[in-house]
Amino acid sequence: MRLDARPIAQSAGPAQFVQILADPVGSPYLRRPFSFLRVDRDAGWFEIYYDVIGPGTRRLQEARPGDAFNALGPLGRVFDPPEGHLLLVAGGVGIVPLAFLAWDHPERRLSTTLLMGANTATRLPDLDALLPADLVRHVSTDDGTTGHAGFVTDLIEQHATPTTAVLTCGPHAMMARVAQITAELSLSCYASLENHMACGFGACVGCVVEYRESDREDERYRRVCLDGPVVDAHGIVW
Amino acid sequence: MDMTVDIGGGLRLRNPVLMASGTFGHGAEYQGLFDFAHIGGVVTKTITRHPRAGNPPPRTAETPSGMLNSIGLTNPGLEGFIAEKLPQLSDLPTARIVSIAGTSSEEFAEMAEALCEHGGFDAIELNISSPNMKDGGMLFGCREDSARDVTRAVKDVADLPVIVKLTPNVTDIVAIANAVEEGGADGVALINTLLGMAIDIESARPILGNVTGGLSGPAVKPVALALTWKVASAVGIPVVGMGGISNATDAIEFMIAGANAIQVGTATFVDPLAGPNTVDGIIDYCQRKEIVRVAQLTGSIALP
Repeated sequence: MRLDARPIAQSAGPAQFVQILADPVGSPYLRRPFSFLRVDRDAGWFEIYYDVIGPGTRRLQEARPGDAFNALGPLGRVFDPPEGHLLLVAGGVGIVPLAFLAWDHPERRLSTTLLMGANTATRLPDLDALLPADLVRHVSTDDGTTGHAGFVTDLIEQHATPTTAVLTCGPHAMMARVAQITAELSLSCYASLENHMACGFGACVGCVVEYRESDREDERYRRVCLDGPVVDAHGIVW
Repeated sequence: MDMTVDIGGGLRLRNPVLMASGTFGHGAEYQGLFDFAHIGGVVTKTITRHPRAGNPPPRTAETPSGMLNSIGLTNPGLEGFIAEKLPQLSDLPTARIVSIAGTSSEEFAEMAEALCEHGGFDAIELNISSPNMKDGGMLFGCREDSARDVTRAVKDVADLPVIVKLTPNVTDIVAIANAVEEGGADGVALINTLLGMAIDIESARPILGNVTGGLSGPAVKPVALALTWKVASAVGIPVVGMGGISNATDAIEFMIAGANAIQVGTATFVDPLAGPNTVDGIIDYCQRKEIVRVAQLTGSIALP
């Protein structure tokens, strides 16, 4: 879904998100957060990609060309990828912020590898439509209907170098496993977290994640919207 | 047009719109959002004596026309607030109200005294109504004697106006309002959230990590309006109304029901400009109705 919104498109960076009010009369009441898939800063548009899972996304799905939505963003912190080889590990719509990183850093694509997992081939999104053509990708399916048969996390070790940095986004269990494997391999690992949010700009303190270490009690849980959405995957409690 | 209102203890607001506690951080974080001189004031997220982590996630759940929260008063504690938050709060060009919660009357009083000695703000809101604080919060606001005692304990030491925020989760909120008035409250604010719950039927688990939480948003507005009307009809001190106020129409309803001022809360999560937009809408209404003083709206209900 493409939305014309010049101020948002011009300032959006990788890992950031936009809060969209799916229904102007308040049903659903709260905005819904979406990662950017692609932006065109000159043309002034951004694209989002989502699974239809509830009344908010259903409302968006019903949109027709020319419809207007109230959008707030960009929100969250921009993720600047570290130097060296980057391994992106995606599950489901978790591919979206990782794809944006690849779109937004063409100079990094030769040193980036994407691993994409799904339950079965029919649940895989159209990767050719979502990803830059020159981004190397490997696919896995739990049932072996396409690509590697098994979990996408099985592929990490063979595609990592000793200096690889991993960035993951997807289902909680998958990201937790990525964090565990990268810890065992002594690789740095970042996770782009998704969470239910009320505001998206830090006021409600609802979208928190627990950190392993904090200097003070009130910093034990930190906001995904403000401190993230990308966090050190080894620093949080999975 | 005179937009000023009095909310007790000599505190006069530029206009009747306050940003509600727990929905606007400690104020200063959102300075770039709009001109703070345009709103009546801000109420900070509640401060406790010691830093609090808050409750385990998930902390929010959307419900029809509203949301549940079980944030659990995440805050840096009294010393952290004074050192890190109060200096920026003090600089805001609007009324600054600090919300506090304690685990005993003594702790409430100790916090109020320390804050008043420090200064740099205009009033205290006593949160005796949070459904998300097991060791205090709503416990004080559910009984007349404890509500009266904690109010009195704070009033004995505070040299700034004290507004007591009431919970709707009681049999008779008017009795509690009368009790805090007896305790010396300069004003009352109502309502805090309604105790609520949601369950995921696939897993049979509560959606909130803390099992129950507080319901807010448009869903609670009719309840809040009725309670505001009942309390305003019964007490002799100013009333700050809140509960599901999203726009000027909502705000004006509360004022007609008897509120001297109102707070915009959950609506800010959906529209960060809900507060200032509410101010604009009230001004438009007063102009259209040729009302010269917004305070004339308070209690102007035309009962059948």
